[in-house]
Amino acid sequence: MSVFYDHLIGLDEIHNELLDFNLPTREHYHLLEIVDSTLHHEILNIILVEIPQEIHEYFLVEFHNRPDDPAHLEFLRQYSPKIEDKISSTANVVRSKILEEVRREK
Amino acid sequence: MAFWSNFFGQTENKYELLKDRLSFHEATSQANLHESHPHLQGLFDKHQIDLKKIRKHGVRVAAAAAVLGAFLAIPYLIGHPIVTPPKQPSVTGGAAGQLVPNQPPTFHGSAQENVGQQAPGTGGVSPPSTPEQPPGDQPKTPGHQGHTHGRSYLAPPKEHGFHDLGLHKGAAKNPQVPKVGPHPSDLDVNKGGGSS
Repeated sequence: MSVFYDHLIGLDEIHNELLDFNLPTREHYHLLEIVDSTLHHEILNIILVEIPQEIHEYFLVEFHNRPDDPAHLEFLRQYSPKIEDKISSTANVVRSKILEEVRREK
Repeated sequence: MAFWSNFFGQTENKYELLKDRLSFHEATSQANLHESHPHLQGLFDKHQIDLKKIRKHGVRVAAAAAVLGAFLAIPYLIGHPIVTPPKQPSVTGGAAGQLVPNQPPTFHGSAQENVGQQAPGTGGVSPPSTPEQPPGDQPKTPGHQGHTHGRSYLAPPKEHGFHDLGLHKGAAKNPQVPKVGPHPSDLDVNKGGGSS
């Protein structure tokens, strides 16, 4: 696990779709990195919406120092008890949008 | 087919197209984030936070942990390459042996399994000969499962020259086996007794 919410999102489906293009490994993983970055921005957006603005700085610094610490999720739950559901649903929306783009290019 | 398509660059267009489309989504999500939280840019500058680096840092930590784990596992794998799997059948054999007092199958099985595990020079004498030993030479204690540390207790000790003659103490006590004659240095020929 590289980021504390990694278990809530999944790149497997997009990875499998990209495999059909038979791209070289470097290009394949570069595309996955772009997808990952997109998800990262969207999920950080929803997290910052859910917590008070006064805490943004504290959370960002803590997240920057320990990106994979599961304690971040517990911290966020204090402000938004259903934060995991919100992260998952945001990831689903972004993922389906990207899958649609990828499938269009087949 | 994939090789030739890559070789001639037919998938390059697909890659560029996908990259453009996905990069567009990435830029949009980034813009949305800063639009929703305009104070973020100041916080990022203040603490020198780069979101992409956070992600890569996390990946680096996971990769470092995986590499460290692999290195830590090497000594264990070197120390226990073959021992663990062969022990499983011997355990089951031992359990079955509890029902039957005499357990030659288990004994022979364990002795043969240990042949491949012996280090060179640590008692290569006994294992090939153990199945040929007469039944009277088998141990009297039923709990023994054969040798476990390289040298079998069935192997004759290297003393009295028995081993060099292919014998051992049991064979020497057997009346059917001829006794070993006097040492060559004790013969009269060497003492000059036969010169007259």
